[in-house]
Amino acid sequence: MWRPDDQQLLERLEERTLMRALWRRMSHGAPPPSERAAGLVHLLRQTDEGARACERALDGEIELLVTLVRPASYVGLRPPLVHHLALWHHAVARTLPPHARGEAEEAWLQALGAWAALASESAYLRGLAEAVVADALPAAERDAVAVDGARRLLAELEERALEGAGALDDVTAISLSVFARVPEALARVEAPPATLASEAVRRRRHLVDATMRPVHEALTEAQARTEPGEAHLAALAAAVRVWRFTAHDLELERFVVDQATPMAWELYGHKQWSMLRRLDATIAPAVDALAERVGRDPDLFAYASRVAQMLVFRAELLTTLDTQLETVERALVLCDTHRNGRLVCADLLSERALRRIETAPLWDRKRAALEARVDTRRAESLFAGLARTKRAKEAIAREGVEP
Amino acid sequence: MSNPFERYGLDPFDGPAAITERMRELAEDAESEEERAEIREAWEALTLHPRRRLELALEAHPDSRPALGRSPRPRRRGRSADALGLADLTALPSVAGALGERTLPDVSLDEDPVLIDVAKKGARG
Repeated sequence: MWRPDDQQLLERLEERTLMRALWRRMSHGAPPPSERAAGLVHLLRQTDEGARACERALDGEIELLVTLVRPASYVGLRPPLVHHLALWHHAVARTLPPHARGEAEEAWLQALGAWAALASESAYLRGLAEAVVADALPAAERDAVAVDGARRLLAELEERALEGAGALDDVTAISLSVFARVPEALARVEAPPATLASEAVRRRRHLVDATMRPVHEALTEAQARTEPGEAHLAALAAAVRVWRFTAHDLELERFVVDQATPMAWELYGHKQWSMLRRLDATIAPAVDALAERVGRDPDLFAYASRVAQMLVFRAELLTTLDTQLETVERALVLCDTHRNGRLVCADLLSERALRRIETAPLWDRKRAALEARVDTRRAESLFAGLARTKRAKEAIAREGVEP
Repeated sequence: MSNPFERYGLDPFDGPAAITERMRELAEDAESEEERAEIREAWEALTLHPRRRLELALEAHPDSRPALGRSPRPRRRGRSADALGLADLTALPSVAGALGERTLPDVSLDEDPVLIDVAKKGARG
């Protein structure tokens, strides 16, 4: 006779089988977790959707079950299920090899979201904490430990990454990315702990500083020399590598511009155009990224002038008038009061005015002079009194056009 | 599986006394000093530091499955069932060992001198 107890035993065995299949699918073959993790499958199975997913999984189709353990939102899930999900994803994240970067990031973020969601389930956590330690811990400390799962995860994530930070290894890359995506994880939660996002920012900063340590050492050594040279370029190239590794960290863009500006002035002062050109090429990606940010974020206004100056240096090094003008115009969009930018732009506009007239056929010189006047008038509005502007105005007048 | 609650099959809701009792049994059954040291370390974490015990309990999967029911009763052998064979009369090796038979004959049951002797006596009787 098939008894209810037999049915229960069969279901328990099925849930253990499914838990192990799920683990194999998500963990790249690491040893399975405790049998109690099968409670996750049991709880999922209590809903119609979960029961369907389990049926499919028993037939060998595991993907629906995988989807269910990665919920888009933790709102409304029962606390024991959220607890299981936190532990499950945390275990998967710890187990995945570093090269499975996308899956590892997803697992850390799911675990973080689940721990953050669990933190607001105070009745569940208090009950668990009281049952485990009773009065052996003061109530306040008991509650603090119970809600602190998400913070412990962030601390673990940082600790794992610090070891390989200087070598820019995969574990560090995963941690940096997860820290940057913490808001994405917290969006899955109704009321995440208030300071979690800022803690992630702080830990990410600390990790970025650790990745930059070799760069700082290289720069310090380079700066002990008298003038900017190969060692400086190598150190800045390393900084740009770290900037790319950190998925374009804003602080590193600022760092690169801050470090490169005095070097660029020194090279400019000594007319070392070749070295200045190499400096610009080395740091251009970070400068351009910061320029774009400054253009759309008013809070970064303090950096507008510095980025504009780097673009002005570049404009002066470029070899075609059009690209020179395009670049200096970008600088003026960022900082329209930038003195050097206005001067260089005025000079380039005057040069273009002269070329318009000089290169126009005789029969078309008047139209060219009218176009040139647009350039000289703008040049004067930007920076009055330049010798080249004066020459351009004289050329315009010679064609019978009022300059 | 480094969480001691999961590794040693402990219930986080058991108090330090029950955990100690279970860990003592595990230590007695341990096969090496290394294993015993691990058990002792886990015991200290679970019983001497309540904060750590709580952290580890939170990091252990809650047992969300219903408790298992009773196993079915073994079927009683009726009088009309098949007659007992020689194999039914032999003590299982573990039982024989417990009875003091430390060295069991390394032969098949058909060649076992004790069973052959029993069979001969049965045939005569």
